[in-house]
Amino acid sequence: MEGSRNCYHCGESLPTGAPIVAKLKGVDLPMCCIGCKAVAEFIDSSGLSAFYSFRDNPDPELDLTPIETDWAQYDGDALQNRYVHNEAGLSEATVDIGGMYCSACVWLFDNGLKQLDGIESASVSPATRRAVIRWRTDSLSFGELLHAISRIGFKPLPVAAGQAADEKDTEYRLALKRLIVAAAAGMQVMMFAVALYAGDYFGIEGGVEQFLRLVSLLVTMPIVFYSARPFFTGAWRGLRARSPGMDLPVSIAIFAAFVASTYATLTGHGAIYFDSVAMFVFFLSATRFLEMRARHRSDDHALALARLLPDTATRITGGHRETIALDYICADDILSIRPGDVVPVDGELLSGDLSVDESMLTGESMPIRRESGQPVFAGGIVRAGSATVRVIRTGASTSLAEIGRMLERAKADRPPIALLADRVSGYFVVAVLGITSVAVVAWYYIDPGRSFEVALATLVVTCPCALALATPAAIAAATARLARSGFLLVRSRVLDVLTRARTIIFDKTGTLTEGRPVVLRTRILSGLRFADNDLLALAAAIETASEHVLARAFAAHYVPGRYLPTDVKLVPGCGVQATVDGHCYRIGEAGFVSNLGRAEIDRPSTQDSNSEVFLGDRSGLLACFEIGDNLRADAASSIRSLREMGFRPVIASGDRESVVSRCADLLGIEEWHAGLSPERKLELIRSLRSRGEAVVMVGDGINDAPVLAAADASIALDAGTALARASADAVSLGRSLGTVVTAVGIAQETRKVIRQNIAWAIVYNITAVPLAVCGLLAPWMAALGMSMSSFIVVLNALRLHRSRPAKHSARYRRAQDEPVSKAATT
Amino acid sequence: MSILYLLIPLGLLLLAIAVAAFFWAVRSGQFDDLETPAMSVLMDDDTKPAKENRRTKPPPESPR
Repeated sequence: MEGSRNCYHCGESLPTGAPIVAKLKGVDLPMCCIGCKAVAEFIDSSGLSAFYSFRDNPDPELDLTPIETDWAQYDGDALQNRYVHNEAGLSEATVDIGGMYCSACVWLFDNGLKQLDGIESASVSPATRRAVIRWRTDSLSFGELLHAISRIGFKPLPVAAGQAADEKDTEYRLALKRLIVAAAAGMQVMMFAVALYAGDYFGIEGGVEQFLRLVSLLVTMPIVFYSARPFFTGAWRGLRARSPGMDLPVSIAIFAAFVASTYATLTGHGAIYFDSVAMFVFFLSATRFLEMRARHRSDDHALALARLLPDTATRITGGHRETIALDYICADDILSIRPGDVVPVDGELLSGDLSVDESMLTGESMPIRRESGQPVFAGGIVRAGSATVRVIRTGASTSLAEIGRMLERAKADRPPIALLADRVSGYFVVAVLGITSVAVVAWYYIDPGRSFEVALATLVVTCPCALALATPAAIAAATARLARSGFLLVRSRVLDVLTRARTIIFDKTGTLTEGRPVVLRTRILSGLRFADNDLLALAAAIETASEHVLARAFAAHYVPGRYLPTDVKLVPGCGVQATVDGHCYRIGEAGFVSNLGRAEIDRPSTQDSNSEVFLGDRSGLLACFEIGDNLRADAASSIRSLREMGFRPVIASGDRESVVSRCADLLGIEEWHAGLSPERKLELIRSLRSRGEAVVMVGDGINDAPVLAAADASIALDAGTALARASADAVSLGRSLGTVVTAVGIAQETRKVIRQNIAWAIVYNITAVPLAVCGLLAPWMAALGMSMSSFIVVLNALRLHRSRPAKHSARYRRAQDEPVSKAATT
Repeated sequence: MSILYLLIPLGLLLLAIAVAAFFWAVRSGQFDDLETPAMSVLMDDDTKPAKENRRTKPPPESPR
């Protein structure tokens, strides 16, 4: 059972050796480390253990292991000034909460904090994972607060005061208010309109009619001047930029209808169009609101790069250690670095050696060994070893910051891609305005008295609502449906690109593969008395002692109590020696292992595609384990489906040629490029694009970010880092590539719906415009026609919400469900 | 029909109050998170610590 092998708190696979157990509600549950045990027991003793029954399954990539930090540091002046805002006995700070991945986490966070003395309020948005906390300064210090957050298992990351103002929140709230005003007032206006239309038919008292018109005017005013404001500002911006968008005719129609109606109301003559205005503004605001929300959801990690770095560093001055804020670290300072630290600066190792995970910087999946004299880079995570480092570059001059700037440049380099609807509506705008002015001029000669009425009817009836409404609505509906299937759109043009792109470029590590080491193959060399599994279990038992990355690959094969290694000796850089059942074994690098039996290194044919770990005893080498990165379970089937859909898959990886070619072979991908630096990947994409091909890039990791930004559309798999998400046009939340296939299906459907709508808009307008221009349509008929037309296209667009999954996705749904249901049994 | 002259302004007054209430709700952040509150009803079970906090409503009786 998986449940017994994984930590109850964080889901990590259990370490080998003496089991760590926490007693929750009288039940012994397995824990992976003392930290998780402490957190789980604290959660239980606080009466918050409902968290465990309601949370989603944690992402195994998510590092929930609690961190040890000297939280008291945050009470020092430097950090206090940066993060905490004090006012009238209350302090306020904005803190990003790491490790929060579902609603249950939000609940745990809220309730865990409320048990602290001195908390005034704490609100956290699960979308942004950002909390605003207010507390009484005298009863709680900032450091204590952060410590409390870490005690319930989250990683608090304070946000500097300047960054705290969240523009998105403001935008969201304003749009929501505008929408609700349009809705509430619009309903009233429609009600009055029904009374007035009925009055037209059955007769109405003159006084009541005028009263209803006046009230309609009054209620429409907030719609026009408050709710419709974004359209006016958008139109004005478009005019100034000399590229009039959909906002221009929308604004003219709203404004002209409103002015004409106001005039009619005040003079008591002529038709009023307040109902059309209200409905128009409401529908437009609603669809734009939906679109905005979809956009905000995955766009929150834009400035995540700098926050990879810790706030403090341990400086050694004259043999004396002190923890100080990173801002005060200068070049040539000596820093001490311990396992688990994030390297805070670019520097040079003075002593010690480290195993550094630089996947954030290089995408290299395996940690790299750094010895004294070698450089280390800011953003690397120290997996093992400790060292002293001489600072070379800090802050904005580190290579991490450089990657960030590269990302910005690549983003700016992006060519403008217009959606199909945008292209059509661009002409539409000009056409509407042209036809209307022609009609005005013509009617000025035919019948000056009707000129305004005809112009208005023309403008209203041709109002490009079918385009302006339906396209965003279709995109919003598709966005929502994609979100439900685990695919978040950041920029809606992905939908467009996915339907016309023919080349899809995959990164390898973490995209086509899982991105963590596993034992791929066991080759028995002479250990015939063992079965495969026994060898693995034996190796796993011995590797328990080791902190080496490759050792982690064995954790999944550990059988508790099966082999009990004694007399364990760690030989750094070589491996482990241990005695099991009276036999002495060595595991690790070939030379070290064969040395035990003084056997010749009889290296069996190596493919060099994966790292190898040997197990041996005094008689020689017993087995060789190939450690590598597994392909994602659905990689092959996803690639096959994408091929069927007409895509040409390409691998562009920074990894070694042997690894990449094997991966390409397994997946049946003919075109692959290995050993590419980020710059070379950029070149590859640029050269493909210069041939006029639309290119989709699927990747993860910061080194991919500029590459992602250069593609026509980019998709980041969730295993990637926060920054990759920020630069990608779309994020796949699932742990599978199948969502990409699903997304392509939905994108194709969306394009179909958008085209249907545009076809409808053309037919409708070709019919209605001549009628209006000829003066055959009263403005109220025009308004009604426009409303019906928009209803039709919006309903058509909203079909995307509901329709069945595309034919390709059903297969993937099953593939995805499998691991989920397995995990659900834990 | 002259009752309309009273009822419609009254209706508009109610509308204004409703919109004002909504604005207040938006400003106080009640619409920022539309997912967690739905969960919290399910999660406020009897394991709640004795120290009841002021901000959440008392848990509803679990319908069994």
